[in-house]
Amino acid sequence: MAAPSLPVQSPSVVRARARALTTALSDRGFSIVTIGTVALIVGVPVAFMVVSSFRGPGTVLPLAPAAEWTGENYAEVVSTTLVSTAGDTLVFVLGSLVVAVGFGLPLAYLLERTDLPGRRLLLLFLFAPLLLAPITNAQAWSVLISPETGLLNQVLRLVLPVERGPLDTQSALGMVLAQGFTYVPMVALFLGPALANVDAPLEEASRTSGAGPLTTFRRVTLKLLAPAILSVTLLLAVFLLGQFEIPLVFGIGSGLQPLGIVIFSLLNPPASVPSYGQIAAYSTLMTTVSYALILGYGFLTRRGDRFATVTGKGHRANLTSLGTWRWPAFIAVAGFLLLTAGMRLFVIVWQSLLPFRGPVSWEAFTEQASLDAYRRVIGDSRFLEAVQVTAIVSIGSAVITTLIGLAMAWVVARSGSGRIRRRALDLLASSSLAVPSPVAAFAFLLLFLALNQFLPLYGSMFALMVAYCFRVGVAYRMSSAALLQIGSQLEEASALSGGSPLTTFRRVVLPLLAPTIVVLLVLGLVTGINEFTVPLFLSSQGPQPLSVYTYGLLSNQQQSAAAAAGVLTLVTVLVMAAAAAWAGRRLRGSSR
Amino acid sequence: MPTAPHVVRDRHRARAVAMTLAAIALVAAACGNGDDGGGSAAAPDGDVAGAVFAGPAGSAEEGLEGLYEAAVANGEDTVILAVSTTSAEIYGDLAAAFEEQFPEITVELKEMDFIQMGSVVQSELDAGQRTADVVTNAFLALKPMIDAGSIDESIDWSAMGVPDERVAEAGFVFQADGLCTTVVYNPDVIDEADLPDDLEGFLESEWSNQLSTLPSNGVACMGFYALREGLEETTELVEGLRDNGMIFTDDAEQLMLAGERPVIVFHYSITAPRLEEQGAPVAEKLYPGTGVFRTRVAVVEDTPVPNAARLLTAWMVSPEAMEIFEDYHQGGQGFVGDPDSMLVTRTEALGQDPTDETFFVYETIDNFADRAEAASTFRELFVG
Repeated sequence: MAAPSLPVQSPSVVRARARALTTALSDRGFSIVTIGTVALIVGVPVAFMVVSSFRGPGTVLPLAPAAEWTGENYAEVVSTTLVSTAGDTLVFVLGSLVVAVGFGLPLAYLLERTDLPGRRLLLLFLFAPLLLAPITNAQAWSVLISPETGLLNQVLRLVLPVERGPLDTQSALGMVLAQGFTYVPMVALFLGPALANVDAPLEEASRTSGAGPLTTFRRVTLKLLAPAILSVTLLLAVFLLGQFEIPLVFGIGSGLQPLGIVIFSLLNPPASVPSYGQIAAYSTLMTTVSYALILGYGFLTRRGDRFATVTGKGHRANLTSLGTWRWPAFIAVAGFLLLTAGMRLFVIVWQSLLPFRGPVSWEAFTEQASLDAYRRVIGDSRFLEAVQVTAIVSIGSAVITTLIGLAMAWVVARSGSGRIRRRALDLLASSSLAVPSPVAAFAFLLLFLALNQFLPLYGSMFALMVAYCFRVGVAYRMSSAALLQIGSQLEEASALSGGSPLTTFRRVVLPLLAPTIVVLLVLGLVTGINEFTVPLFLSSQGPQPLSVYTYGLLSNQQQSAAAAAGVLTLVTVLVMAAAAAWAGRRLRGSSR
Repeated sequence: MPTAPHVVRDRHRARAVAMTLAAIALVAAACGNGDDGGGSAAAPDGDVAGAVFAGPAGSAEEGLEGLYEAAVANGEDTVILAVSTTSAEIYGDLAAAFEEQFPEITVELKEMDFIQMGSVVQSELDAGQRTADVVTNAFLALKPMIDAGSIDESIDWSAMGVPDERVAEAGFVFQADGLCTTVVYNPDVIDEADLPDDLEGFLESEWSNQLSTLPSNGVACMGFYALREGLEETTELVEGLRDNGMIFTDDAEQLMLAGERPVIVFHYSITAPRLEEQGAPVAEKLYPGTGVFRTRVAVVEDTPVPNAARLLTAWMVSPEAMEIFEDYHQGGQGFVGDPDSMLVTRTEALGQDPTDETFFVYETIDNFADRAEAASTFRELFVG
């Protein structure tokens, strides 16, 4: 029997197949490397923390020879402070959400969907405080709502018949209001696009049926926005679970003691080694709650299409006329922003010029104001070191986060990777958003401490850089959105013209993605500069970043110097934002 | 890593020189120049309050030089000093002065909240991390290290030229004393005559929401009060103060100066003199049970830079360093046993003799663990 003859293939077919195989292999390798990197940054610290929560005794590092498997950490946590912490955290999160959404939603509506005058200026005012470092923002609120001398209280007392307050840093209300107002711009930021996409004819139909603007907003707009509001609320709830700058600066006493404060306190017990096991148990329980919220957020986002009104068929998003209410509405919005945003910026500058805290008055200004605090800060070698550390870590983490975010988006959108790999990346991205900041910071601390014998990263700038990349999920989501907007035909055309994947990426995709990359880099930089929780937990060795340096001044009773450092940080961020906006415009122009 | 023979020889030589010089100094001291010490203060507690400042020891500089030579020969060019954040500025000044005198050694400061120090350094030692080589703090803050045996107790400080009155227990040397001033207040808002006669008086409703304290220092100072009054009684007092609106905040001094919360209870003596200098409205009142904390310095066991660490430690209690230290603090810290110390003058101006054991409570090696336990209890009253 004659042996079957192998089909003869032309050299070009062989080459094409070889290239396809190489592409497939490099595709596979790339996606595996990407997943591995994200797992190292996001998955490993959290998984290690969960495992550590079952290691005891709590005061021993989880990999130490004396450590054993135990459930005692959970028993201890449940029997001591879990209930009170959960209660305080719930009040803190829910209260802040009510304030943030309660004020943010109408504000976003007025700014997005009405003919309110001066909207651009008002938007600028609304978003400006987002650039304040969280620790400086907390200081600003603490100065602003001091019961006796706080500027906001001084103003409120002009119209309210009270002798003291009415706001107080030491009341739950004060804390919740400060945190809630801090989040108002984020609500407006997240809900703005959803509001802009509500189809106007539906609202017009409501109005022609005799409903007033308020009824239309309540019965039409609000219902259409319900999924967006709920998903934004869930996302903010996750962020709020990890907020602790305001409670930390306001002080511990009659106010609330939410999760972040409790973890920080447990990590710094007086005159004893912290119980890592108990903190890990605490953190694991809280992360579970946070994960549930993120899953809910994901569910609502996916089901959002049921409420879609942007259909591509005659979609209009007309502005609603406020009629005679235009100017009263303007005064209300401007007044609100002046009280909550403008005053925050003002008191920080004010405090940086005055030696001590006190009431705002012309007399105090003329008698005491000076630039001494700025001279002191700029002349402090630790400040210059802090600037250096902040620059290195922020730039490094911004670059790493951007690269990983892009790689993740590429794997999911373009590489043709399997469903499991895509799901794995999505899960990791969600995880990076779901873990509250103090928990993430503690997870890294624990990991670096425990592994230090084998991998001496603890205390290094590289460790900080890696930990700063934890929120890579944000970069991934933004990159995905940008990548999905670029039609794959362009890449196919490049490939057909003989362009290798690398050439296609470099010459086709990269220029189109450039504006997004700039935004990601700037976002990473600003986040890095303002990051507080991670370096507070991690940087015990050598120079510290600006945020921790500022907190050091604050906790060392040097309010003016802390405010000056905050102002200098803000100026740096503003300059960077302006430079990025300029670069973004240029890149968008050239990519067109 | 084995030490090179020439380094070992240098070390032995340095030690021999230091010991010889120390012996000469001891003989000289015994020959009676007691008046130079400037101190005949009665010592109720020879261990703490009775330490009498004896002026510069003749052998110290020689001892330091020997250590410096050994450190340089051993390649010990950087020494890490753990300091409390509140004292970072003065230790920065001290580090600069040290580097000027010993230019081949750099001092790197490791700053942290004072009460965290022992815990952080011990955790890092457990993790095999290069951490502080020298620690400076009260026994209370260094408890985790003392418990773990991480302080080098084998050093004979006297042999290195450290004056005897500066040599403490368990491998430490004394640097300075400070007071856990029981009450610091704003005299523009509060008249001294209106302050209660005892701390229980602050439980009255008129003091509601008028009080604050610092998170770490507050509990540490309450610990002294507990040593005198008992843990149960003090816990009751602290609970009462909390229920009367006392808060734990890093902002305590600013709130006091602004008149928001004009009284700081269980404060420490370090910052009030400096605030006074700046023209801020600040006054102090001492109540029985005021604590005297002592800042001690020690070398961490198995430090990779033993000579540099010893040199820095010994230098930190040298007359030159102490002059910088006391000048900076303007009476906020000093030496209780030295009648010329600004701390003593300041305390006497407040109507108290700092060596009065019936009024003050001193931190010792025997009571610091009880104080630590009390501090933990009080912290839990505010944060579970």
